[in-house]
Amino acid sequence: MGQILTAVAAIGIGVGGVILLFWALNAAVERLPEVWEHRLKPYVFVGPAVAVVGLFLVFPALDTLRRSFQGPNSTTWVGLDNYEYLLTNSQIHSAVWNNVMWIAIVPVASVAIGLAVASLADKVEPRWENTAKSLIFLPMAISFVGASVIWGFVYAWRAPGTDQIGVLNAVWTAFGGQPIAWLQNTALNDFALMFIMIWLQAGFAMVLLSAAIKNVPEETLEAARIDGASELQIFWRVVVPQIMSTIVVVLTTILILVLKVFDIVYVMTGGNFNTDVIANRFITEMFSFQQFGRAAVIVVFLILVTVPFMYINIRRFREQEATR
Amino acid sequence: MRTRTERKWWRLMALVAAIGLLAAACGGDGDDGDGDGQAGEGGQTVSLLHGISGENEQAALQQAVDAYEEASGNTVEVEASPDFETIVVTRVTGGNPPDVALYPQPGLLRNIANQDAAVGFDSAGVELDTDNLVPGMVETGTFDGTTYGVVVKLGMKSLLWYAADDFGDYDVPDSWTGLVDLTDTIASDLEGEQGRAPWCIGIESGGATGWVATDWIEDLVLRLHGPDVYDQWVNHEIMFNSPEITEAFEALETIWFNENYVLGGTTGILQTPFGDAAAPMFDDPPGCFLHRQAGFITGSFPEDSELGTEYGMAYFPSDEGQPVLFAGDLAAIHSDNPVAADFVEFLTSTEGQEAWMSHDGAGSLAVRSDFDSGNYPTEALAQQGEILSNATVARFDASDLMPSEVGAEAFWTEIVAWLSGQQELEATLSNIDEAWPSE
Repeated sequence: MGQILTAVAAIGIGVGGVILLFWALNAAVERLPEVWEHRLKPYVFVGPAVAVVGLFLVFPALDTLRRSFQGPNSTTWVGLDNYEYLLTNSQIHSAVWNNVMWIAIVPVASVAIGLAVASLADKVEPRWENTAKSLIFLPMAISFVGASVIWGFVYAWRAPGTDQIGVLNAVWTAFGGQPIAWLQNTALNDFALMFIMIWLQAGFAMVLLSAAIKNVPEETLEAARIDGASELQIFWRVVVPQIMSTIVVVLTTILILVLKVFDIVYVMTGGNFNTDVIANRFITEMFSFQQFGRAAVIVVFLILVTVPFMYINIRRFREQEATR
Repeated sequence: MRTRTERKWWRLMALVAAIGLLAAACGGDGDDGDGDGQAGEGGQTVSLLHGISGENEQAALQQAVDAYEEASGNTVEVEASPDFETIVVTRVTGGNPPDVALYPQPGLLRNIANQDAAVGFDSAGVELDTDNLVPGMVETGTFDGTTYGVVVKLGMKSLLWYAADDFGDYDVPDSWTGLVDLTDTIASDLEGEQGRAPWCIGIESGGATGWVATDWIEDLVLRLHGPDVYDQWVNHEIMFNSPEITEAFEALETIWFNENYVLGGTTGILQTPFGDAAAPMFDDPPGCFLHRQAGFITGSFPEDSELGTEYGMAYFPSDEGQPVLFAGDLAAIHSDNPVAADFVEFLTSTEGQEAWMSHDGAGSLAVRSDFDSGNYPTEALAQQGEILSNATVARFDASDLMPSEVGAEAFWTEIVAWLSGQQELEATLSNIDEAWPSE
């Protein structure tokens, strides 16, 4: 009961406080001469938001940069030691290499599946379109950890000769094969993990691409049909070019998500069997080893890699907004 | 014109209110807690931080705390944290330490003691009844001649579980050599039967996969080379790729890498969660006959199974003497609160241990050699207590004593890489040595 009262009071004070703050600032500005009122008003309203972003995003980012030049406890300066560690540590190299594979495969595969479903579903009657799209979209509602637990049962392995509780191995052994340890086989395990991410993200790609496809003007399609183009030609030469900016935005969004992938690997293999990724390395350095400096350097690396994609993403998004 | 601006203004206000609401909701549940801490009624107060999880185990600890409060008139403020390691480091380095903390890892306590953030038992005024404590309880918490912690709760690791009802003519071995011979005998009796083997072994444990293997290696080092080599190994005075430690790994190899000895071979070892590993032992006919795991594993056995009928328990045998491997929690002191010393003394006393370990949920062994085994709630614990009191040597789990880069990472992951066939034994051992931090 006490906690509920505290919560109500906190909400009241929080909301009331913010309203009061803006009201007071606004009232203060309105007392100024009209010229100054117009000059200052935007800053009065944008200012608090900028301050909050600065406090919770910019400051931690700069602090991380500082820590990347410091020792494990962030008390001594160690120069470029952590950067040397980043460049020479073989475990980080293998993690980076795995991330490169994830980046190369997951966004493209998610978009390909999303695009295929979106354009095929567009051609059936609405009832079936909605059913098909709902099914593909459903996994979006599941957290990465939840999805990993589910797929843990799909990939489960039991000794030959005993009951297979994993779906994949149950099917495989029913056809006479020996059970395969999907998560341990280094030729397969990365793909087994990536498939979970694709399963989760295809729905996201599909929704955005479906909306874009529906926005393609019908006249352009009819013109192509009259000119005698096949459906495939229409798809590749007429539809895809017109939704290209959406495709790029979806690709870069999933790509940034993939760069940060951690949960799936952590739950499924813990980074064993050559499946480690950089975000998981960061968790290990930070929480297992308490090596704050090394953990910070991994984050700095991640930020540096993400920035170009963010830039492309935002620029494309603006272009898209501008053409609307 | 005026009305349009006004409407905009109200829309903006609504947005602001929504953001405020969100911020308040996010911050809302952070600042409660204080206010329900009561001061002792006449007596003094001591705070205790621990990471013991599980309702039953916490209830057992509470029984000891209650006994102390009754005996002394002091009040104990108990705080349990599932994230003990992070919390204790934050609070101790942040100048807000608990009076007493229970450490599951001596290595962490050593780090904290090295930063002068723990109080030595001499200066805190703790007087331990060392004569009646199991050997090793005080030594585990003693670093560079100063005692900072004492084991107050002990879990036995050197245990062999076997399929008692199907054991037939097989004898429970009383030596490591005998255990290897028995393994071979069972394997040849089972020849040609798919899905059956002498051993059930599983080490899958999520992000901690590999720790079961380190327990085996530690038991083997104690059995093959004794406590002196073990201690030097823990301090990295003996390398992992030394002949002694290599021999322990090779002993493991003879059982673990033999497809006929272990259910599912090395893949089975890596893919089976440690809690599920022993399950085939209870099948009919049993999928395996032998299993090695600490005392807690009975919690994963089928509910209606009983010691002596469905399964048996024995000491994990040694060729020489009776060395045992254990894990446990160490009580350490972080403040000059005089009650802290009194409380730690009580936890190791006969009264304290009886209140704690006689509880049904404790599932642990007492740290006193004069503890009456009739107090244990189960027959399995009573037998483990017997094994402990006959021990010639007792050593704490080495991986918890080593730096976390090794004990909680390389020691695990390199063994996993070795078992999965990614690398040879030689590379495995030198990789672990390389992971040892240089300072």
